[in-house]
Amino acid sequence: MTTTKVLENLTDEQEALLDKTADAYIADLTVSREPDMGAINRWLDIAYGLYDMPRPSRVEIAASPEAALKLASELTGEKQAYMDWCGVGDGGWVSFYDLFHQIGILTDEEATEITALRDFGKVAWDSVLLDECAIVIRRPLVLRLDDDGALHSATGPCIEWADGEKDFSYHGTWVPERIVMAPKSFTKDEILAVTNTEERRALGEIAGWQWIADRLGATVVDKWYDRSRRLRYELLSYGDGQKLLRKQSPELKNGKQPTYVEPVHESLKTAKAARKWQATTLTPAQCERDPELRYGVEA
Amino acid sequence: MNLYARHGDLVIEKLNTPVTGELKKGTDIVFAGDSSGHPHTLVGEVMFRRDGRRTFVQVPGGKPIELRHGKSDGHKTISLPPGDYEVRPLRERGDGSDRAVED
Repeated sequence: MTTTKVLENLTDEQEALLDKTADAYIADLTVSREPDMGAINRWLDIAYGLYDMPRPSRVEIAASPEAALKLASELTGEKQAYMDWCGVGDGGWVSFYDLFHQIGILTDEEATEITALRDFGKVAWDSVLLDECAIVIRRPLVLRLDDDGALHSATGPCIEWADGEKDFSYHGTWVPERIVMAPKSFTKDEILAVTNTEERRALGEIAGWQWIADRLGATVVDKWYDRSRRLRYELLSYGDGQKLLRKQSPELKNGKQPTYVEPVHESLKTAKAARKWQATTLTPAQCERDPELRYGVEA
Repeated sequence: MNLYARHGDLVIEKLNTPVTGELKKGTDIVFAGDSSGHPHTLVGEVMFRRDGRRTFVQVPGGKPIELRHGKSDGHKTISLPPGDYEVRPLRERGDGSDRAVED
């Protein structure tokens, strides 16, 4: 596809269409739709045609990525772990060309393929295209996002698929179902076994940081307030002297400052030294002797 | 002690002497965030060398380059002027030894 048409300036209406188009695509992400075989087949004709192949006679609609990969594995006799990344996820770039079509940069003929992919994405989450069978994953029944547009739910699944499969995410980080659905079922050892700091944040915020401290039997042994950055740090001790550093994040892109908790060396005595220990290769004793540490930038 | 920057779980230390060893050319090299799919990306072309948890980076002369976080509500972008840096993760304690903070 080639085009030589160029617009040097946009009219006010065209300018407004930029945000309107982006907003429409973003709003459409959470809409659930029944599969539309007309839209699906139009795109499959194009996709297979790119490889000089006809659309296979067998087109299967899968209710979830799990179901699609299971079917693909059965059909190929090999474990299939990846989808084709073709479907709703293409909206980010398809929207650009859709806009170019709307403002006349692309003719109807030039936009035929992009329009077909746009319509496919409205009903298809993704696909696994095999020679003998096209597997198309339908959109989920429910998709939940936070205010920043990240997959998120603190009270249930962030994605619910038509076959009952569920996915869980906390502010864009995939988390185990139990962190969302039964956070207070975690034992002390299970809390300590969570090694991903974002998962720890999810567990702490959903169950409550005080509940976590109580479950661990942890008490605050030292506090430090970084006046230059306005960040709070607390050193907690639990068990036979194990230590955790509870710290406030610098302001994120959305203006929030979540709390993170990370295990630190058991010999540390102050929160300020623990902060330095995390950033350097110095020993706990060296950090306690000179806990000063300044960052040029903290983000 | 002064360090150039902290970007979430990453520490960026500006080095006073040029990075040594065999450096590779890299574009948009990434740090950490592997498990969550939210990497920190140094946007642009640099020379670099990985050494365990540490990455030594040479930002070429010209304009500063940006370190971005691939999370919608993640850490704000910071910039690195031309120069030599060591980039490493914050550490934490686990199973009786030190390990990188994982996100």
